[in-house]
Order: sequence, then C-alpha cells, then structure tokens
Amino acid sequence: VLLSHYIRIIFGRFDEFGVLGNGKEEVREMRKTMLMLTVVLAAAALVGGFYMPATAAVEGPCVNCHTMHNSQGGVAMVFGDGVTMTQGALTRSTCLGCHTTTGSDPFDGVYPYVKLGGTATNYLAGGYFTDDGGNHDDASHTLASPETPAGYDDTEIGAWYTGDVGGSGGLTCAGSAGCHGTEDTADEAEAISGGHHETNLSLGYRLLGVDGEKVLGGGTGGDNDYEEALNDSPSIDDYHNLYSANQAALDEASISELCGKCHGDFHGTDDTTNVDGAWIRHPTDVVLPSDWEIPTSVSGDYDFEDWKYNPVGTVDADVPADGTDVYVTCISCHRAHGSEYDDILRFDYGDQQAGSITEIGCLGCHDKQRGS
Amino acid sequence: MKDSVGMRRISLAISTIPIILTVVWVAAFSSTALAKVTGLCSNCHTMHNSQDGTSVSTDGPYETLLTDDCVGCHSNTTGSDTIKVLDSTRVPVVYNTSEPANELAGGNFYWVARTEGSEYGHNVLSIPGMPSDTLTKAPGMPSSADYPNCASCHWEIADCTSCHKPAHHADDSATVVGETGGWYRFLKSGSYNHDGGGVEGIEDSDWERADLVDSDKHNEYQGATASASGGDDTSMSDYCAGCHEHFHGTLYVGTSSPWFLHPAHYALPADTGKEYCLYNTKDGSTIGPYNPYAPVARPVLTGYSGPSSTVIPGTDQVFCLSCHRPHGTPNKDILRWDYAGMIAGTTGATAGTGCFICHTSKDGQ
Repeated sequence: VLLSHYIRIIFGRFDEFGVLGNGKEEVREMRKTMLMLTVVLAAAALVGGFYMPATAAVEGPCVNCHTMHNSQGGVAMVFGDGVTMTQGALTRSTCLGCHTTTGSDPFDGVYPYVKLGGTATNYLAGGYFTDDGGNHDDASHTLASPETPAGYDDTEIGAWYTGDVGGSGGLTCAGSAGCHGTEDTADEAEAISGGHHETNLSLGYRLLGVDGEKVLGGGTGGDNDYEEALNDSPSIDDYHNLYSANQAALDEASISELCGKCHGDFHGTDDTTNVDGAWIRHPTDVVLPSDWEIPTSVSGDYDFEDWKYNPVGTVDADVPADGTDVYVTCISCHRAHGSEYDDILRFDYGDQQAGSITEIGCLGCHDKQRGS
Repeated sequence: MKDSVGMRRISLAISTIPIILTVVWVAAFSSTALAKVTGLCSNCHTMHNSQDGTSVSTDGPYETLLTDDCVGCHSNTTGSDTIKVLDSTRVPVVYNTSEPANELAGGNFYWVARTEGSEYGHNVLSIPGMPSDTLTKAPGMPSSADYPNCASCHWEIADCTSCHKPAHHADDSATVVGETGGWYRFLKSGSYNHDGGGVEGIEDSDWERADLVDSDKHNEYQGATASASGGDDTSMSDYCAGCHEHFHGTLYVGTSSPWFLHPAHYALPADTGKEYCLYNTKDGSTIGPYNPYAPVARPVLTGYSGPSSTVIPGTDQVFCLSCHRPHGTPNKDILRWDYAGMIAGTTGATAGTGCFICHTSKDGQ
C-alpha cells in the first residue's frame, strides 16, 4: 500500500491531487525532495549492506583447530605439515599446517589456504607461497629465510625484525620475525592471540599491525571469499578487499606501512625521492593524479579487473567513489605471500609494454602509457 | 475439662510434626551429613562367606570380609538409580547396567562398559563387561612409572583400588575431608614407592547427583596451593597427574599464554580484558555463580564451612575435573560435554555450556 502511494505521488497526474496552477510547483518540489531522500537512503543501504570487515571471528567446532592435551588413543595428534607437537594456544598445528592444502582449491569455506598442493589454478588475495627453499626467491616470500629483507631500514619504523638474527629461524608468519600479529612478541601464537576469535581488537586487518597501530582494511560485495572468485574470473559481483592508504597522520596504519616495517627503503619519502623530490623508487601511499583513469572510474564497471591486477587504497579503507582520492599501495602491484610471477607481482612485468592496449598491471594505472 | 486437655495435647503434637520432620530431614540430607558408613554390618560384611552351607559370594571371600568387591557394592543392576539404599545405608552407584538417570560427580561406567566403548570411561578391568582394548599405558604417563611394578595402576587400571583406598569407617566428620577421614573420596596414593598422600576436599552428601546439585550444593575440590604448581600437594589434579603427568604442571603445559596444553591448576585470569573474569556469565557483563558442570578448584579450602556459590577469578583454578568425570560419561574422552558440540560462534543450544562456561567470548552469545 505504501509503495503504491509512493508511486502515485511521484508519477501520478497533477489533477489526481486536485491541484492546479501554483499548486503544481508545490507538488513538484515535494516530488524532488522525496526522490533525493530515496537516492540518499538507497546509497546508505548499499554501503551498509555491502561494506563489511574483511575478517570475521572464527566459527566452527573447537576440535577443528585445538587439542587440549595433544593425546588421542594414546598417541600425539598429528595434523598437517608433519606436526606432532601442539603449538601455542593449544592449536593442532602451525600456521602453515592449518593454512596449507594438498589440493588446488585455495578456500574450502573454512580455511583460507596460502600454500597449495600441485599446480595452483587459483589463489587468494595474498597469493601463495610457491616454494620452501632459497632466499629471496623471486616469486615468493621465503619462510625460514634468515636473510635480511630487501630494503630493510631499521631507521624507518624500528629495528624490531628478529628473523635474521643469527639464523634463529628466519622469516615466520607471525610475531617479531613475521608479518601477522604484534611485532614485539617472538612467539607466533602469542603474537596473534585473540585474533582468530576477535577477542583482541587491537589486531588489525588480517591480524596486521604497525608499531601498536592496527592496519585498517575491509571488504565489499558479497561473501568474504578472500577474493577467490575475483581471482578466478573477475566479475563486478565478486567480493574484493578494501585497502587502507595514507594513514601516516592517523591512529591506524596503512597496508603499505606494514610492508615498510621490513622494506622501509621502499616506503615513505626518504629513500624513494632524491634531493630534488623526484621519484627514484616507485612510490607507495601516494595519491594517484586525478586525471588518471582509475580515480574517475573506481565505481564503474571498469574496476573489477583492477581489483585483481592493480587495486588501489583509500584513507581508512573506505569504499572509493569516482573522483575521490585513491592511492597506490605496495599490494597494488604485489601479492604478499607469493604469486606465479617474479617479484611476487600480480602480473608479468615482462609483458608490460608501453603502447600496448593492456589495461592491467602497470598500465592499469598508467593509462597515458597505453596505446590505442 | 478432660476433652479440653486432650485437644490441647493433640494440637501440640500436631504442631511439633513439622519441627520433627525438619530435624530428620536435616540429619538425613544436609550437606554436612557424614559419609562415614553407618548401618547393619551384614549389609556389607560376612564373617565366613558362608550361609546355610553355601557361599555368600561364589567369587568370595573378599578382603575385610566384604560380601562383594568394590563395584559389586557400588553397582545397580536393577535400575537407573545412582544412589541405592540398603536399609539405612545410602550407597553411591558408579556402575549401572542400564542407563543411569542422574549420574554422580564422578560419572558412571555404564557407557564404557555397556554401550559406547573405551573412549567413554576409564577401563577398570574388574568391572564386568569392561572392554579390554585398553591403551598400553596411561596417556601422559610419568616416566617414573615406566616399570613393571607400576603396571597395575599406571599401564592399566586393574581394579578400583588403583585410584581409591577404601576407608569407609574413617572419621570424615571434618568439613574438609583429608587424611583423618581417609582422604577425599578415599583418593590416596598407592603403597608402592609412594608417600601415601591423598586428596582433600569437601564431600557433597549426595555425591552431586545430577538432580540434587546446585551452585551452592556441590563438592569443593582442593586446588594447588600455588597456582600452576607442578609439585606434590593434596589437590585433585595432582592426583590425576599420578598417571597423566604430562597434562599437568608446567613442563609440557607452559606457564602462561601461549599455552601448549590446556592448563590445570592455574587460576582463571582476573584480567578484565580477558573472557575468564566472566565465568559462567548469564548476562555477558557480570560473573555468574559456581557451575557444578564446569567446577573450579580452590587453592585454600581452610575456612570453608561448606560449598560456596562464589567463584573468584585470579584465585580459583581450572583443574582436571573442570572438564572431565573420572569414571565415565556419555561423551568421548570422559568429558562432561560433547566436544564436537562446542562450536565457536554458536548461538545454539550449546552456547554458554561446556567450554564456553569459562571461554565466555568464544560462543556467539
């Protein structure tokens, strides 16, 4: 009934209301007001309906992840990755033990997998670890590598990284030698304590933080599948992440600041510009010029492939709209864990050619370098 | 005149009935009633295992002139009652041959011996029908027990005396039952290579029968006098550790977060930033009362006049029986609840139960 009244008011004939002359203007004004109100409410509903935190408290049987005494039938529990001892927080396996699959499906609805068996046919937003050996492997962050991270600068954010100290274990998933959790805690489980169950709200997006600040991030557009569907076959309907950028003056950190903890020379301005202010390394956390194509199309039907191949960031990881400030981030080009391409890139750098009609990768942002 | 006096006497007599009934009720059922056995000697003993020319028990005679063995007396083969009455003697039942109606604090051997199998109880081999597919050694067994002399208790449970050393006539009138009373529930270390110590606690007069237990009527368990202590003491968990040492103390468990095995004998954290300060919460913002289905142990029972409904985070401790019933349960791993039903984030029937009584932020409530 309300809907029929609404339609009648908006679209009905003036004589239905018994108005003539100046009365028509009043009805027109009323219609305009109602239409504007409708647009505002619809926009709010869209944002409210589709924006969601990209992490959710883990749900499901406790037994999936925990063992109380590491004992079943008189023998220790064994759960993936060859683990025979319980880990911190009574978990049945290591980080990789839970987040590794022998199959090729990167997300089975329960565990997001960062290491895949066989030949990977798809992957999640963070990519996947492509091998177990070799330092600075071109296509992967190498867990257990004792090498100093490329571009490491302990004057940038702090000399917290312990993964290279005396070869004491090398790069880990979490803690002071890893990326996730608090950086001042050596134990991986303790570093991410409360993250999976969201009882520790000081941990940020994907349990990432920088010097006590949590990294902001989010997601939009349907069920959180860690971008599995987007990476499989990009579509406007697919869920995608939202990344934070340019948070330096704010209380929360950007995703690029997180990367800068290890790769400080590649972040900020000290080592990315020369004395004249010219870029000497590719910038991050820097706004894209407003006349580039992406800032004018982030809400159009162009962007779904960009979310896979060259995603942008925004302040507070807000949903970007056309013409708003959007920023280049580290993961505009890279996948954190690894990828099928050198330098853990989202695309093959060797295929990026000025003058080509490619609209992804470097040329996804640098539209002036495209051909026609 | 005589009629008037008679009426007054009748009236007085009637008026005293409630008082008499109250006294009898208190004497019979109050939580401070003695567990020390009273009643006819012949309920439990036979002098020569001989009556009318035949044996009282064909499997006898038994030690201390008993008419039956432990489980023989503490079984119910005719019904689901878990407290049976022999004349004036109330006997706690630990083994029913049909499903028990209201299990006692220690659970029941029904499920392991009759229906579900080895994962549902301690395999006390003297119980008729008990599966013999036991583990070769107790899980988490201390290395000091890895000798043949230890086998009957630590490699298998030959009979009830592996854990209990009966002292049914000991004076257990003290509120906190200890050595004088034959130790709490007769839980006393074995004689071989042990110091003979035992467990202290406050014994509920109804053995916490499920329909008679409440937040202010229950056993009270002795915890470690020093939280996270792994040393010998009179605590309940230390007694369990006699066979399951690796699940106790600090060596394998850890001393603080992150834990590597579930802690026992560790005070529930009082930190308001943690979920445990809301133990058994009913409203999500204030701590709830003592919950007999996920009990805590007290580091100091001295001064307790009986069971308390108050739980104090930072003091009261998680211990083995917070999660387990020693004899057996309908759930795997002799748990008080079905671990498979513990679903993180649930708002269903298991929300606020089991693990979530302590882990209050892990369910969906």
